[in-house]
Amino acid sequence: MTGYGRRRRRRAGQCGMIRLYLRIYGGLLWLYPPSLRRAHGEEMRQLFRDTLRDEIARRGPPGALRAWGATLADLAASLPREWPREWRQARPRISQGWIRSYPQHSRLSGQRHRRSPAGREFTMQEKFEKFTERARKVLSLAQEEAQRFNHNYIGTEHLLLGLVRERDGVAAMVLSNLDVELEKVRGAVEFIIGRGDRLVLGEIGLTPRAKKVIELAVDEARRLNHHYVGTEHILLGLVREGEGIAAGVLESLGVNLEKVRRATLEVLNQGGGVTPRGGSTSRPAMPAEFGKFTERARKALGDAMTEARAREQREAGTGHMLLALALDQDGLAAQALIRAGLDLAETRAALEQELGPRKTPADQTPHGPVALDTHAMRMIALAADEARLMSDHFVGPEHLLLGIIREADGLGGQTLLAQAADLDQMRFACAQARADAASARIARPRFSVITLGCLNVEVTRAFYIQNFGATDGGATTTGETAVRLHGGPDLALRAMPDDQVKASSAAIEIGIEVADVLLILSTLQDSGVANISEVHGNSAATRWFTVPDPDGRTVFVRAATQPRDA
Amino acid sequence: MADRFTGEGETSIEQRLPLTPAVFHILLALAEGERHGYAIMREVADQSGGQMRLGPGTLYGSLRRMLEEGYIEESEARPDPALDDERRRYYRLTPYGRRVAEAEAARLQALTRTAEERGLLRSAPGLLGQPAGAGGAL
Repeated sequence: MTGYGRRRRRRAGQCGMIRLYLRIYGGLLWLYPPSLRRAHGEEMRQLFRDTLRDEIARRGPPGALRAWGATLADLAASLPREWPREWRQARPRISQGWIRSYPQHSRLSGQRHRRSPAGREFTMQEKFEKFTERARKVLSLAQEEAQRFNHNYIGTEHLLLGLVRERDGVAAMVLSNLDVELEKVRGAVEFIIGRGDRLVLGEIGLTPRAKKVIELAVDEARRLNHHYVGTEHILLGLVREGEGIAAGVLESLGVNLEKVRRATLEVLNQGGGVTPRGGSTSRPAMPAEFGKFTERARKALGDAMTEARAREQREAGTGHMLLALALDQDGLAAQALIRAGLDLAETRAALEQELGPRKTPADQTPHGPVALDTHAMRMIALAADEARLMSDHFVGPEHLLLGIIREADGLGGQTLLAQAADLDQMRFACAQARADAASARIARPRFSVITLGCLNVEVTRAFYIQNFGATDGGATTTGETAVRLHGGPDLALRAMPDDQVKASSAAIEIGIEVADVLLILSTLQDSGVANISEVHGNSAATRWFTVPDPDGRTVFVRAATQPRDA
Repeated sequence: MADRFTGEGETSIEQRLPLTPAVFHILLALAEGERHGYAIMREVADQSGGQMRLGPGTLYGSLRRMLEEGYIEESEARPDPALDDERRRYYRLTPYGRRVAEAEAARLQALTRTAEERGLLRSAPGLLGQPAGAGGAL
């Protein structure tokens, strides 16, 4: 009885002691940088308490001394590591803690998954592959926004800002319909996170949460059976992630996440630039082919509707469509028209004469429901047919153009025929415009010089010139030829005997990015120029390939790139 | 500008090596499944034969960094009835973290092999061969 009482007293004493120690340790925690304290302070206290209990259980009261000794030594060792990191990072102080205290966190976190539903993990590169131009622009704008705030990371909030800023994207339309405006979002971000105190230069990375948004965006596109990842998918990803700062910002602006999701899906289901706000029930349904439209094609369709609206016309026809295509000068359709020998200005003038002048400027015309007339509906079906003929899984502006010319009774078709265009000529022009775009895409890597070393330089050089519309830049040194791709980077082809190949690889310039080379090689492969059969080396700097030359001989290719002069 | 988003990815793993002992030990501890902080600490102590004792500062400093790098992620918080009824945060490896750990293990294996060849190590390596360097800076 007394033993029991003593034990209980001792345990009560221990509890009091542990509580006192915990308070002391809680005080010591203030020595750590606030960001660590906010993110993990409570856990650190728990850990200390567990250690104390363990040691006391094992060794009795002297165990507490041991626990203190170890913890103080750790404190001394870890403080000098944590502070410099805090100073290095201009990262806003409260972000971590804010995310953690976000109310939905604990519930939803259990459902988080990093893998794609297929069970396979995508690499970042794969993830960005199918991104539309606009979606890439969003990422680029997100980086800009991060730098604006002196944040050294790209978080979900910056992605949201990017989405709002890429005004032509579907996401921006949805957001503007929900009254999510740039300045409001910026204000909210500044309020929640604040500004970094240091200028952030150079490239900055995506936070794990933002990466997850990208993954979810890819998944959303897959679920919707879209072959591309557009701004709307990023928005859906943002909504699905649901826990990041962006979600909090949206909430603080009174925007319900479910609302965003519904509005996005509605816009996706019903058509490009059309954003239903009020009674949209009477609106005509979009043709089924719409699901296969590329972002550019959808934009063109939305623009066509805007053209109709700007003239207070209730239906958009092939004439509006052609006008929209001709106005998008960089679009494939406009390029094809040029290739076919048409004068864009003339086409536009002819259409504007038929359609009448705009009553409101295009940029001030509100988006709204406009029906498609029967010609336009047929045109879309024909465009899908053209896509099928070309074995494309999508419907792009070039297909729309062909649909217009095939729907000969529509205003668009008549305008084109009046300018002496015909279907076969236009098909050829579209193919040419696509080839142009493909070689322009090769110019995209930020490295301007690509060195492809191979054994038989003459064969390969002739090969590229013949197949890739490259122009000869002239021989530079013995055994080396510079070839300039049409509008693309320089290709230096270097003849190298097999035994020298390895030795010279050591001398390869630094700063080489394999991804760029792979992009080029895979484009070469896609266009049937090269058949990359085997990857021999796989270092960060170079890769080795065997590529059969036209005569069936094996060409050994060293692929490396040099950074562009800054 | 946005082109770098197409180039991001795999190549970065090599650049992340070598890992600090603390980070590698934590990755090892999480390789078997998700754990909360204290369980990680005990597991690390066990697997290093008591040489590596992570205190709260080192452990959570490392965990924070690893969360930021995407090596690990938080999994569902739940009470551990064996300890108490408080909610604890559990951590688990991401697929990326697993690959980083594999790469580091391969690097260490190569090192060990070299040591063996030069007669510094007799036969099958026992533990990790990490010196008792306390903590290990990140």
